[in-house]
Amino acid sequence: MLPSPLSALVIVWALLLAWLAICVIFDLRSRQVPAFLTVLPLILAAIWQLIQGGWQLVVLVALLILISDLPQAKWRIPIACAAMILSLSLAGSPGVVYAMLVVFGVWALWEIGATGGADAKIIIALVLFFADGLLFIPIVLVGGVQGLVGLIARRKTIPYTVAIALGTVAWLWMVNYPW
Amino acid sequence: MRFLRDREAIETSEVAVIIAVVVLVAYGAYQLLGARIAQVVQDVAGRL
Repeated sequence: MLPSPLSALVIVWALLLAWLAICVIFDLRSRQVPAFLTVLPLILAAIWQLIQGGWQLVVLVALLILISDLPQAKWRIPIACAAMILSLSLAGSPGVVYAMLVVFGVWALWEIGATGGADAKIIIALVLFFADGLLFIPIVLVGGVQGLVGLIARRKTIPYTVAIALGTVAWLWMVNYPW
Repeated sequence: MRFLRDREAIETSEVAVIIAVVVLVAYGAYQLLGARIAQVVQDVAGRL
């Protein structure tokens, strides 16, 4: 017997939250998340997005991954900007545009060394999975609060996966139970 | 694949605060001016 759509949704959310929780545990322990916990979900989210018809977003992510391997670092961001403009011209809806802006922004932050690769891959996987860039807003808000607490406590670095996990939970709550 | 290999999950407190402020300001500006910006773009496109 096939599961009902509601129970299938609950299973997906449970898996998603379990994955985020495991990432948080690794981050808190070592400030690192193993590659299989970020690359595999990234690939699965890309496949899901392709099935949903959002190939433009997947193409942008693939281009950015390739661009990050260019030998001359000074050309990476300009070429990525060109790829971003090309992708925006292919975007079919405002939702895809927001998602592309977030994917590009997160990749650019990683490229300039402002954020870790694991954090960037987790956020991009979430954006690919939900195809909604607005997911990024609760994440950065929680991250901002976490950063303020870190500054007050005189801590140089913070485990950003905590902000990603809490922000995602907040976003799922807002989307499903609007005010 | 440099991006896929990177396992670092580190973020400085300052950067987290700066990103939050920038995204909030950008989102707030878009909410306030989004319709007006779309109108201006349409006006320019119409004149062209």
